[in-house]
Amino acid sequence: MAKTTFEADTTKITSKELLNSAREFFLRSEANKNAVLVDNINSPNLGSSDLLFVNEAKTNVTAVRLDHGIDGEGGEKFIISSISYYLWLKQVVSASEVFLDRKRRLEMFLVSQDFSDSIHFLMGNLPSGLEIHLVKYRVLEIEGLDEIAIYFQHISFERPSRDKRIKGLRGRQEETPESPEISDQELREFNRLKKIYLE
Amino acid sequence: MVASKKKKRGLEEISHLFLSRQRILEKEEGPGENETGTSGDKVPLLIDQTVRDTSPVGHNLAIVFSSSSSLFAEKSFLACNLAVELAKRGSSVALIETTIRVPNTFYLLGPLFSPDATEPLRPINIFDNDRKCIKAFFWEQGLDDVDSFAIISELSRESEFVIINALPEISLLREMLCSLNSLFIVPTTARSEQLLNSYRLIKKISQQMTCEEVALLVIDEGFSLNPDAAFGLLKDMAHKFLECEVQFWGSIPKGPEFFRSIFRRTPLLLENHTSPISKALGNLADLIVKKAHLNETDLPWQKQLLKQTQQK
Repeated sequence: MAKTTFEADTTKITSKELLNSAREFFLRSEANKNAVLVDNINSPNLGSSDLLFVNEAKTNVTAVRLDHGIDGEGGEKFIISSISYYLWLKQVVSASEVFLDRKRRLEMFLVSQDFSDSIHFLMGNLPSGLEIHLVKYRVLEIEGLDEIAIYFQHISFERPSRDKRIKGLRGRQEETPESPEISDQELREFNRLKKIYLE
Repeated sequence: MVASKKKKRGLEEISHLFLSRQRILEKEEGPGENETGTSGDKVPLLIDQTVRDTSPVGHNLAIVFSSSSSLFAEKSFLACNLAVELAKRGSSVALIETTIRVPNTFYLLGPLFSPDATEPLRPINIFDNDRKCIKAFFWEQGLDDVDSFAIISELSRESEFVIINALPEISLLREMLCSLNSLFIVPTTARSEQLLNSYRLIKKISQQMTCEEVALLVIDEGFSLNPDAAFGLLKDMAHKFLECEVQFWGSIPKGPEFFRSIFRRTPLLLENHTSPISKALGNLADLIVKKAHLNETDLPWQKQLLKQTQQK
């Protein structure tokens, strides 16, 4: 049986509560199965992440920035400053790869209560090299519970990345089980059948 | 259920999985014990055994609508109107919406919602009759995790039909087909670029969901392109390269009623139209009902379930 829930005022939660809930959310997610929380890396000019995770092999770095919405930073300003920080952190991570002789992947999750249409458009058209994801949170009051709940929702995008477009122009030669593309043989057969059926 | 009891629980304890049956099971079974009896923090998948055991065969049909993103409005329109038509016939229907992008099914059903209904599970009463009710559920996180599986299991237990308006990039758990009767419906047009997209999607469904049958709905845009030809092309492609079979479930004429329904945010079938598109949707509902009441051995997903059970 589903519980009755009500949207609650975001001011009912503090920044610390949001931070704690986000930490639990990311630690429990399947993608961060073996991740551990480490100290944030501060940029001299571009701020810092709110949470930073690395996996056991230290090959995946996951930064999380939270927009609590009460300090007046605003959604789009939050995104711009976060992308700036991400690009700076990517340079730091790339520099460390040279010393450690190990490839590292950097992801960033931006957590906010709401994202505007322009942010959706921007994120949907980000280059494929920038692994930035949006997570929306909702503050809910749930029937039968004394405390309010924070509910996190990952927002996914279809990104028409440059790589995909180039692959499409080449006739989709690569094929992976995760994202089935069409082989040359299939494309040839499709074009043959198209002439028979549609022309 | 846990919700009915007044319990003091920490914020972090419920922030992530407050709708998850996995957590409920963990709580009932004690820490470190999951459904399969092995210890560990995470359960990779919650197979709802009760659904498998108690669901009458041929009922509880999960209908998954999926198409390329360029047919977003058409897919939502079909999912929404099919839900209304089945509810009108007296069936209990659950509708799961997975995207915030409009026009989604929630947008199309918009005026039917009461203005203060903000809870994720929204019952929509049709014709002021409690029996004719659609339970609409908003699930934005995708269908590829344990939580969504628990929700779908729960809804399918209560409803004869579960209609899922899915995104093209969404992947479903393979095990979902073992415990739920899932039918994938792929709407497409007869345009060649759309057919190529649809073939790619059918391939994905076939490979990732071990699906043996996909139902094809061709949206007739009124050009000279023939729906039968579109079906023939995809059927031949699937026959040659895929292990699943493509079945033709008819064509839907995309007339002015389609656009009017979207602009007015009113499901077409609420108004008892006699237009060609209404008739086509009625035929689609007939096929769905017929499919749900076929004999056990006639359904490919049940053959698959039987095969898997025998293998175990």
